Amino acid sequence: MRLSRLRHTVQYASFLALMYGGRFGLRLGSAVPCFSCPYVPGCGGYCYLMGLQGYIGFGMSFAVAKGIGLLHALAYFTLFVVLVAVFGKLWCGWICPFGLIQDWFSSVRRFFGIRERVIPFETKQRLAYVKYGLLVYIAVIPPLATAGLIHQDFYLPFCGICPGKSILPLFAGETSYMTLNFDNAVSLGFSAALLMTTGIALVGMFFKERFFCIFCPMLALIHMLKPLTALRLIKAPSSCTGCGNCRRVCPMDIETVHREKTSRDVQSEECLDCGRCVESCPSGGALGIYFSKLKLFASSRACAAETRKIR
Amino acid sequence: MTGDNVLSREERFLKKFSAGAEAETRKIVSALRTRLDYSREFDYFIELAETCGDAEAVSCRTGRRTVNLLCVQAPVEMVHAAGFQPFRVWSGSSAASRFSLAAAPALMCPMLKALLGSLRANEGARDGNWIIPTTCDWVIKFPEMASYECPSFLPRVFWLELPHLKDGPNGGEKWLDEIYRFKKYLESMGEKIDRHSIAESIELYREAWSALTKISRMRGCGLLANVWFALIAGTMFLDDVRKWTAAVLNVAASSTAAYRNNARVFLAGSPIVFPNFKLHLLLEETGMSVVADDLCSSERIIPGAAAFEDTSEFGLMSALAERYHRACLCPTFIDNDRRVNNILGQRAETNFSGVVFHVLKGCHPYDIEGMGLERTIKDRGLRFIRIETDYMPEDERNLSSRLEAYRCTLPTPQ
Amino acid sequence: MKIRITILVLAVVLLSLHKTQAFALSEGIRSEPVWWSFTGQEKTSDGGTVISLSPVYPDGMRFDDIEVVYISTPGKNSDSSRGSDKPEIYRKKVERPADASPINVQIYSGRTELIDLRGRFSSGERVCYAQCIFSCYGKSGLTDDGSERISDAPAWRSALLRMDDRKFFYRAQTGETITVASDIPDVSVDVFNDGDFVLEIRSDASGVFAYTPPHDKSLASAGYSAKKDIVFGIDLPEEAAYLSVSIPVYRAFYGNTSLAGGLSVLAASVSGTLCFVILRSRRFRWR
Repeated sequence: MRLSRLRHTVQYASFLALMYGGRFGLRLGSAVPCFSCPYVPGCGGYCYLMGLQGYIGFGMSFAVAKGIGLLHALAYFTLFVVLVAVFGKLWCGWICPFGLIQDWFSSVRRFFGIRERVIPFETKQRLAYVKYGLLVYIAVIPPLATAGLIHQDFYLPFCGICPGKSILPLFAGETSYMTLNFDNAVSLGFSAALLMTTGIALVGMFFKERFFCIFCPMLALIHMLKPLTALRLIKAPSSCTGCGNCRRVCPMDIETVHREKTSRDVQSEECLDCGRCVESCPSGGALGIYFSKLKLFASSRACAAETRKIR
Repeated sequence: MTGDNVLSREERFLKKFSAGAEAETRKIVSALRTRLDYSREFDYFIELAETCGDAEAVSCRTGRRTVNLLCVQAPVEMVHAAGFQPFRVWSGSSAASRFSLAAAPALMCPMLKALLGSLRANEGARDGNWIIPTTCDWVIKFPEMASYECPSFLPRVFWLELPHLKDGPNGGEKWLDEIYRFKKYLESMGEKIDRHSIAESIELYREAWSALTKISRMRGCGLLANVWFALIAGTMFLDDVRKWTAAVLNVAASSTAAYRNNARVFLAGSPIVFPNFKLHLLLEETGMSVVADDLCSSERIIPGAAAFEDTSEFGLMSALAERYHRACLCPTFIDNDRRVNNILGQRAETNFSGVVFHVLKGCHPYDIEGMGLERTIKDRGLRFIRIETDYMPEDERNLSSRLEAYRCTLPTPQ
Repeated sequence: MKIRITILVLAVVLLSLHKTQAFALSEGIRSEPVWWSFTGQEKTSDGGTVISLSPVYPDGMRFDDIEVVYISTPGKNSDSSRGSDKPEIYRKKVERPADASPINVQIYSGRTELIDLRGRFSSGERVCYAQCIFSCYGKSGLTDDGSERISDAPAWRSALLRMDDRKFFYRAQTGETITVASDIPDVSVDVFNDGDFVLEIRSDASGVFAYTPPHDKSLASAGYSAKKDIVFGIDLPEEAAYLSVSIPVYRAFYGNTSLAGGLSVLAASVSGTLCFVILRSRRFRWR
């Protein structure tokens, strides 16, 4: 089975499990390292970012950072770390339901033959900081809300602006997050901001592959745990002929894999472990996905030759 | 004719050339047909190779007008998408090479010398449009030399200005500009190139490359002799690509094991073009099997499948542009340090123990690059031999002795 | 002058009517109602989330006996920390205060669960049954609040509350109808909003009554966890009993929302981004 076919199968299976699994008794807890949105009625598990902001994370505030409360938060964090350590960025490229939705948008664009917009390298480098900024935002705002220093409706500040909150529930028939909430100034601000980011994301996802992943704090969080992860994209620089296939097929337009001439570890910050680069690389063994030292999949000319790219 | 039964000097030369070229082709065809590993599946390619210099025959066969391409940097998919048959012009004929002696510098690249001779001998070969990327000096000056004989040649040349720095900041953009200019040029003569037509062509050549990959692997496993591989690859542009692909798959389906006990070598360097299979045959005779190569006349005849995700016209064009630029291992590029990676990378797959580096006399870029390559290859514990030759058969014995001595240094696979 | 006298007379009449109404109200609750009310904020401690409730009763009322039990049912998406998905019944020990000090009941919750708190307060011959049903989202692994696990709920007379099935949202919200099933047909039910009498409704022939608490601006302007008590009280003079059910009602999730407004903002955002992309594309030179 070709890698991309396997990936698509996993993507659809995980989409169904994470979006509708709760209706069939699936409870994956609150430490799922991808956009398994808790706002989707009947979802199969909760995105860890929500937990991180809320009751198992920063939202618990400093007042309860002791005893069992802290242990509870640590238990979830440990579970998150274990899940990331085992599956790494597969959460992003293979499992995340929002990632699949982004891929659908790209497929529509490809069907109509509309050009993908290229974000200049310098701009992309600047935008890379946004996801870390969002992590800081997630860490700072909820404790302030819990401590009563700011309005309580700031409690889940990232969910308040995450386009996943508005788009994903639509697949369960829930349109409530497409509304403006006039309860108070904060809720109005958040609901308006959510719809603004949703609009930007919808257009962005159409014109740029995996547009939202550029800003995703989950990607940043998983990348911060890179030293613990076993799954790696490895390059044999002495086998690379520099054809640029890897760069061209990369949904995140990563240059590192193509340019690297000495280091073996090419698992960059933006990498989603989708494996497209490995699949399209015509140099035998130049690229590979490894679980620790175990080679899971390596590039080969035969595989590149059989990879039909026209859809 | 200047008089009754009296031929002019030019006519005598022409007659001599024709006879020489025919004899040359006959000789190699006969050698191929009498090989132990010959099978009927190869007939299609032999017949194509016999007409390798005849653009008109190719045009009749494919039902498309041919566009002449020199070197390997012009995207053949675009030519095909514009409704033309890409026709890679080069020549391996020593007779043609001799025929151009008076019109070319003595130390000129034998391949271009032979091409010049072919143009001198065959007026029909000068017709059509020529796409010439600015690769080496000989290629750049070739149209000028051709125009001495045929003044109408130069205006029919479309120059593709090749940025020689692949990884430079602007190389890619400049090349894309050139490719779009090339597109307009093709469209001015033929059909409009849209995303559907170009996608179709990309797919056709991907399938062709995929088929070539299959027989390349067979060669690597000792199931197909390198001579056949070189012959098959060299005929890619002499017929409709679908027919060619089907014929290659036919070969792939019927393999004959041969040369398993020969020493395994990698063949690098200047192109080896039919009918000049001197080195291919000498390597076999001296007990070596070429299991992989990086010649632009065989393994690199097309750069391979252009991978892309963006299916817009721009996406496809830029994918093609990049594939034909960055992936190209031509020594005329400044930053061509990854060339050695291609050789070393294939070692893991084909397990060769030595590298034979072929340099055509006068082919300076390969000559220069061979020096650095030799050092790197030897550092990796591999045997290296540099073979400098031309199209003339006179040095065969000398080469044979050197190759035999080289063969003795190589381990024989069990 | 005549007008002034007329206004004065009207004012006196209206004032007296108001007084009469107030008296009537006091007459309405003269049967010494008792209901549960939440006291203070939820707190997270080492032992779990602590929810404090106190019974509200008329000043000076003394109880001869107090019994409190609660039934805990795990929520649908609960990652159960008590290890069971079945309802569990616990008895709370509540000391009868010797003086007028308030009675306080604390429930420790470590998971998402529905708590059905029931109290039996007897004072002389009269008995008050107070019930409170609420969801909690416990935040700790330990929930030992000193309760005693029992196998069956005591067979008291009590109204039964049945909330409409909202599938995934457990909180009662303003603007949503709360339906209560009791076994007493055609009875008068007093509705209290945060302790204030609001209106009187009647149960139907099968004992079911319903009420839709209106949206509340003060809740809307407060945070997402702000809530108020809605209490249903039923006086049963023949049984010398008073039944009450308290339900914490939260700010409506969608009480103050506008889909049209939201879609307008979305359309504006999409249009703006689209314009940006198209304008940027004008620089594209490969055509």
